[in-house]
Amino acid sequence: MKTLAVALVVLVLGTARAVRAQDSQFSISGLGTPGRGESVRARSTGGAMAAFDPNSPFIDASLVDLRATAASAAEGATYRNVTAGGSSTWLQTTRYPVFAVGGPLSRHVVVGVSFTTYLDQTYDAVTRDSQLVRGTVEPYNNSVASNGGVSDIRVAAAMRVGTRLALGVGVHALTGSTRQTATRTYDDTVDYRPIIQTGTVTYSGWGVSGSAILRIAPAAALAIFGRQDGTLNSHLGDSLVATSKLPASYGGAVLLTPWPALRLAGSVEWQTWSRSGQGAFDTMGWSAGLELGHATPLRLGVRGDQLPFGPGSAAPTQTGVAVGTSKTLASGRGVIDVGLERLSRSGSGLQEEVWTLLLGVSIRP
Amino acid sequence: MIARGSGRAALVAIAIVGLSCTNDVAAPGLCPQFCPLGALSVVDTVLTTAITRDSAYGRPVGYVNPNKSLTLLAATEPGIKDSRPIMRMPPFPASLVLEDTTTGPVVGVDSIIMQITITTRDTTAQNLQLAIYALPVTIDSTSTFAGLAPAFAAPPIRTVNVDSLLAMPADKNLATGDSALVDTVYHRVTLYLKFDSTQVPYSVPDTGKLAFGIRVFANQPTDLALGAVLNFGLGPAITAYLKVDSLGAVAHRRTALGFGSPTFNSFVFDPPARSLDSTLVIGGVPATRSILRITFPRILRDSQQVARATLELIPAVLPQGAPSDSFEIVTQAVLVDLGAKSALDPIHVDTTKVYITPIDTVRIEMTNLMRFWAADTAAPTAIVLRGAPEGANFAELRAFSSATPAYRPLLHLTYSPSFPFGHR
Repeated sequence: MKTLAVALVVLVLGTARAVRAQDSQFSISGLGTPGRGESVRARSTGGAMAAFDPNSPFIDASLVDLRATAASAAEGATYRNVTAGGSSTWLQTTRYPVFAVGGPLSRHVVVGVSFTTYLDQTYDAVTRDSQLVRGTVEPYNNSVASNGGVSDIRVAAAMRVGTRLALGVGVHALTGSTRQTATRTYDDTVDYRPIIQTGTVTYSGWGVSGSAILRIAPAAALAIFGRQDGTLNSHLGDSLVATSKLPASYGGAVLLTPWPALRLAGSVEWQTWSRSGQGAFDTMGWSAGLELGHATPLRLGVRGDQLPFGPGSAAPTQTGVAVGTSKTLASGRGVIDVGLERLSRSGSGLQEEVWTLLLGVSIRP
Repeated sequence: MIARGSGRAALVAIAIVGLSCTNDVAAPGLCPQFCPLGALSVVDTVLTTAITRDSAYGRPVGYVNPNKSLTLLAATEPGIKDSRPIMRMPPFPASLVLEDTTTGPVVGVDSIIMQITITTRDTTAQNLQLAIYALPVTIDSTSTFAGLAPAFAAPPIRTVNVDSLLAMPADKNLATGDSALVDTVYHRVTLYLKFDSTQVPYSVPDTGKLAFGIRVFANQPTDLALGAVLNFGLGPAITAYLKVDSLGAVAHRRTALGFGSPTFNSFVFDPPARSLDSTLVIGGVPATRSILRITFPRILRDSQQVARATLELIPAVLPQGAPSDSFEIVTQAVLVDLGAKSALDPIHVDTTKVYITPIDTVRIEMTNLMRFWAADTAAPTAIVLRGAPEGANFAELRAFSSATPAYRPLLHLTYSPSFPFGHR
């Protein structure tokens, strides 16, 4: 148990980075790449199980399945190949997209706090060009980089109403910052010094969410959920530099358990990202997945959705497959989840192939 | 079993975290589709009125005068400059040790060795010669070129052909007793010149004090610099072999090696330095400085916004100095702006080399200074332009000041306006 706790501490604190999801070139010109409140277990099923996984801060009502205090964290090491204009580049990032803790407050009420990525704005766009300066053409490299994003701190409560219905509500504080750097380096380093401008943009906003899970049959459950986010305020120092409307989200999910060792799930979600401004689109996503077995289950999943930001007239698309398993340890007090996810994104002449190695740790003291 | 298994799992978790903690997100930007909103732009502009309240100081009394210079300048450039180093040596000791504690009075000079170091010279000049003249021992900082002209009109007491001496085996002339030591690293030549008693007779009233003047000649107009006494280890010195009375007989004793550093050294030149006028004067002898106040552009808020800053000066006359020569202009911030007596900031300095050639604009890079002022808004935005080293070179620059609007100093600035971080 102690070693499991050590592993969790290493995952959560040892790297001292903000929680983030995987980033994408598609979102450089937008608010960022939206994160998903999915544990490694849920993500290994393509996200289909997220609405019914108490360790996934995806919807609030799923908290009711926490029978005891539990904490979980996830790490994702992403290798992303970006192809555009005939050339491709491999990028690597390590992210800690989910940290959640929760437990029963009373027999019927469970509360939880979670930290997840809401928008990831980590990128470094490097361009090469030249400029006529003082009568001479001076070649240079430009770099505009951002590191950080917006985190979603959720405080949620779920309550069981009767034997078939669970309700959940949550309040979301959106906070975070990005350290942005714009650099120009001329090839002529003797006469021209590098220009380096830096700025830290801080973000703030609020959102509320509500959800319900209805057990419609002994082997079937239905979840519906909704969320309304307000306005994201961006500050540079003391100055308000931008306000962006954030989306409303609606969705539903179904869980089938034809026999005890097999769980099938599917979900859909609609988000109104087009509110946030030019170059943003409403998105529709779906996922389907299964979990087979108990002690060391096999998880499989597929997903298809859209990215909310892109340069073209239509939202970039994203499809993915995932596989994973887990190992229960210490008499069920600890679980290590591993998963592998592959995503393909395309739109406006750009393609991204994303491989993500997922590692999750859950403990129940 | 479970404990061992969980331990292994924990180790695996730690290993995976450690191995996969990477962040490499730099990718070629596909602009404008897949680039951030807003672009880093660079503006190149000339600020025509940024330089104000500019003036020159340092004549007739300079920041460094010939008698405090690090070098003694010699030049024979007919119609341009004639400069002659002068020096006064200390008196000989009245007595020297003969044996043990027995001393005897000095009664005469047997010979002396004069040590002088050529720190810079025109290597294109051939048949380089130094002529050493005897001067009155009364020379001091008020001595003038005209006042010493009669002494220089007399025949020199010694002449040495430097090129011939350096061509001899081991750089030694056994006939005259002269020798030379060449420093190939710093390109210096130290000469050891021997004078006999007829060339430097012992003067009892002056207790052996000697004063010398030096002229330089070559097959063409030329100049050189000798190390001055303030130039540590490179200044003139003499070693004397003296005659000492030993109970009626004459004994020969030597002073300490190089005991005789000049009590005074300087150089006189003609024509005299031009006085100051409305132009900005930099360098020369006596050493001048010009101070310029700069109206700092408010658009610069970050030191790293400045890619390049250049001060552009329009010469009022061609840069003065030896042809094919060059000199350095140092642009230095001031710690406090007190006009002519401003304290200079030793850290924030830019340096530019100016060549003695026809030139329409002298450009002095001051990027470091502009970045410094952008970072420290409390620092006075004034600069001092001076030659380097001061008073060690006749070369000077005279440029139009802001008093001549058509040709006033300009500030050429290449900078980046503030990047629109966070804007959408």
